[in-house]
Formats: sequence, C-alpha cells, structure tokens
Amino acid sequence: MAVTQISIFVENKPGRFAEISTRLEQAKVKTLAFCIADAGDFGIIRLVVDRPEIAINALKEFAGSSIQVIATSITEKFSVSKIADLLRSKNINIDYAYTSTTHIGGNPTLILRVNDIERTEKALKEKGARVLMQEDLS
Amino acid sequence: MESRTTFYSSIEMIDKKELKELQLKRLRETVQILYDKNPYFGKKLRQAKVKPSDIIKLDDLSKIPFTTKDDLRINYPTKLVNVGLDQVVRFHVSSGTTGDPTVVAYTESDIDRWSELNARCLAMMGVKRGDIIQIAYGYGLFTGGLGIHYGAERLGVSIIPSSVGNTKRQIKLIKDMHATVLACTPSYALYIAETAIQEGLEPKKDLNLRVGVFGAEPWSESVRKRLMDQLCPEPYDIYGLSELCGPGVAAECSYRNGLHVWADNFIPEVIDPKTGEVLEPGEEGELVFTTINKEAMPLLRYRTRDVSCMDFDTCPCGRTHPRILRIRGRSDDMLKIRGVNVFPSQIEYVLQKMDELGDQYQIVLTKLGPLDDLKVKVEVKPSAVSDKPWEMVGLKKRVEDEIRSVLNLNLEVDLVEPGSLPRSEGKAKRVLDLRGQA
Repeated sequence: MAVTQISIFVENKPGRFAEISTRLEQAKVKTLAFCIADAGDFGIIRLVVDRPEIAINALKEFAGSSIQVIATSITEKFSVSKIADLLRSKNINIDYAYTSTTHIGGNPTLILRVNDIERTEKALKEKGARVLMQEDLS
Repeated sequence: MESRTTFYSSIEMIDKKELKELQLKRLRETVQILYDKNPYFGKKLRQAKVKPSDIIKLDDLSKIPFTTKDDLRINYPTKLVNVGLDQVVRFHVSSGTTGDPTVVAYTESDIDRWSELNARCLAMMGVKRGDIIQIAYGYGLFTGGLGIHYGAERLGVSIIPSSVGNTKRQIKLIKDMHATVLACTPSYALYIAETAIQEGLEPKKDLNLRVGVFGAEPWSESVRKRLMDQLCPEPYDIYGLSELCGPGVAAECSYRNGLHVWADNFIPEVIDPKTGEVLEPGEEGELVFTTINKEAMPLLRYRTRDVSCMDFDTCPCGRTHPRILRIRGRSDDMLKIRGVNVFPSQIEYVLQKMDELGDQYQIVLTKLGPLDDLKVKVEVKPSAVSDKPWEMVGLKKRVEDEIRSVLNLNLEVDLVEPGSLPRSEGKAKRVLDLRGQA
C-alpha cells in the first residue's frame, strides 16, 4: 500500500535543492514528484522517487525522514476535483498535495498527504481509482 | 569506601586536620622560597608587606597578592622559573590568543608529581591496569596529551597515544584495539560518536569504551547524558590548567558530585572577581589556586578566571580532598548581552537536553542598531524532521522559549543542517561575537 515520501530538511539558501537533485541523479535515482515547502529560514523538500532506499542513502548527510503517502493516477474519470470530492464525501482531510513531474504508469499522478491513509486508499479503490504502490514506481 | 580505585590512598583519604597541617607546612615553604629566590614574586610580596613569617595559619593566605596571566606574560618566556634552567626537564606553552603565549616549566620531580596526580585522577574514575586508554588530546606544547599519558603510564594502563585528528582512524583504533577508556575534549568525544554513527557503527555496542576522561573545556550535564547514551557509560570530568601543571588538578570520582582538588598539591579558593574577597563554601565566584608542591614554577593565588564554587563536605567515596563544582564557564567566556551575564554553557544545557537537536551549536552575537542581537544556530537531527515545516517551526519556538526562560533574553534560534557548523578536534569554539564589527 501507498508510496514512500522522503522529507529532507534544508536551510533556505542557494544551492541546497541543486545539491540534493545532483546527489539523487548521481545515485541514479529518478525523482517522480517533489515539492518544496518553505518556512522562512529553512524548508522541507518532499520527494517521491523510484528507489527510496538508495535515495535515503545518497542523502544520509542531510537530516531527513520518510513517511507513507497516497499516490493516485489522475485520469479523465478521476480528475483532481473528482478525487478531492470523493475524499470530502468520506470526511478525509488533505494536509497537502502535489503532482508528479512525469507520467507514472501512463498518467500524471496526485500525491496526497492525508490524516487516514488506509481509509483514503479504500475509498479511492472502491470507486475504481488507481492507487499506486511503491513497486509501481520502479 | 571504594579503596579499590584509589591510587595512593593514604594521601587521598588523609585526615582533614592532617591535610590542613600539610597544606600550611607546604604553603609556608613555597612562600619562603619565592620570597628568597624569586625576584618578581619576592618584590610583589614585599610591596604587599607580606613576610613568610606572617603566614601562621591557612587563612593568612588571603594576605598574599594574586597572580594573573599578565604576570606570566610580563615574565615571558622563563623569568618566573624558580630553579636553574639546567634543572628544567620540560616546557609546555599555552596558546596566546592575545599577546605572548605563556611558558610553564617542570623539574623532574614536578613531572613525577604531575604524573602521580593524573594517575590518582584516572584511578578515581575506575581506570586500572588491564584497561586500554586512547589519548586523543593533543600531544606537544599543549599539556593535555602528555599529562594524561604520564598518569596512565604511572597507573600501568596500556596507552594508545593517538593525539588529535584523523577521526576515522581514531574510531578504527578504538574498535580494533578494544580501547576501554577514551581521553579527549567532550566536544571531540561527541564528534567521534557522531562520525562513528555515520560510519554505520553503534558505538555503545560496537566499541568497548567504558570510561571517558573528558576535560579542557566546560561541559554540561546534558552533554554528559548524550555521551552516556552514545559513547560510553561512564564519562568523567577532569580539570586543570597549564599554568598549574595541566590536567590532573581535579577530577570526578564515581559519585560525580564535583571534582576533588588534590589539596596536598594545590590550595583552592573561590573569590569575588570584582573585590578579590574570599567567598564562603557554596558561593559562586572565580577559582584561585596556590601551588604548594612545585619546584620550577610555583604560583601564589593564581586567578584562573574559571567560575565555580567549593564544597568541603566529605564525599561518600571517602576522599577528604575538597571538591569544586563543575566549571560553569570561564569568566572570559561570560558574555554580556544587553546587560545580562550569559555563560555559553547555560545555552548548551538547554540545547543538549532536547533529543531533536544535534550536538553542534553556535552562538552568534551581532549589533542590531544599538542593541545586541543574540542568535543561536543549532543542528537538527533526522528525528526532528517532519514533512510538515510548521511542526519544525514549533520546535524552533520551543527551543527559543526554553532558552528565554533560562536567560531572560530574547533571541532567535536557527535550525541548521547537520554537518553545517564547524567541528573542532580540540577545544570547541562556540561563540562568534561580531558586535565589534560595524
């Protein structure tokens, strides 16, 4: 179930994102989705990649942690608004969301951080939406 | 009583009255020798109108003028040496950050006594024959390496004289040689632990370290807890300063309730740094030592600028030598921020108590218009990282609140990346005071 998101703490100064993306590239890790959330002097870079373990190792000098997030395909039938509506109907809160930088399994993908990952997954699957697993990313 | 860990128990457990008699006898001898033989101190005593015969009881010590670092600088390099230079077997030189460095000389018997004091300190920490000690204090002009080395040798401990630097090799040696004791600065010990963890080791499991002999800079109880969690179960504080001999002036016993000062060699006092008045036991002030068992360079009432207080109560370990509480800081290190006296160790104590924060921090002082601006940079640990930045802003606020409640000062805390602050192998440089710069 679900996919791994790596969250990396970075200071808000030039070159930090470049450093991280270069290291991932050197480790031959493909970044499939990312988003930078800033909080003034520092920020959190959130990443969904094809091989999280290798990425974590390549970034071990940084302070980072990982959690599970939902990755679901955006299709004609399951547009972003449809997905959001579906979650609203189940009273599931979205903490934050971002989209993939590339098609995954043929579709753009919505990454969702939610308060209840199991219920979200169940709700999406019940309606026939495609929920990706980590294996689907490699 | 734990006679098992005394090195020279008849003197360590000496009756308090006998100890005072011994101190008085040695004090009188020291004053006499300096009065007769030392042009500089002899003149100082005469100017203060103190004759050796005026020293009748220990309290008469307070009649004697203080000695300061300036006295040592004025007499650079060897004018204070009180024996023929052909009697000197060693010089140590302490770094002079401003002006001339200071030179300290030792006769053969000074080295012998210094070795014994360090052997006593190590034995008091439970170090014994069969232990393997890695000494990662600098060897050379600095007294740390050679001081502990001679003490360990006297005690019959196997020594790995690794000196400072090359941290990866230090870890390899600790591991491969099964070192049981590590001697270095507490900040370097933290760095060794951090590097070992980065190397994929679990220091508490993969290394065999039992005792830490950590000194040469002030450190807090929360650093002790970190070292216990990360590196070795028994980290002890050892104190000294090169002007008196080097390490081995005082150290903690297993009760860790202050550092026993070897009072048969040094008479400790605590004074009010402003008035010079001797303070009561338990009152905090500047530590002052008189050496009473030295040949080459005896010093009367040397002002250390270290801040501590005395405890004369008998320690459960049975040693009768008085204790100084762990050094809070050096009066030189004391920062005056918006009129408030601040010791870096107070900030360190707060930071190192929080599990989310790393070992490294830096205090940065600047001017914001006419006002002092205090900023504390501290590295975060991976365990602190949340995917939600606002949770980390909460951490930052929590650290700010904690420090504010201790210091009563407004400040900003900057969370920074691991590895971004400068590391030190010797004494750590924690304060960056830029207030003098426009």
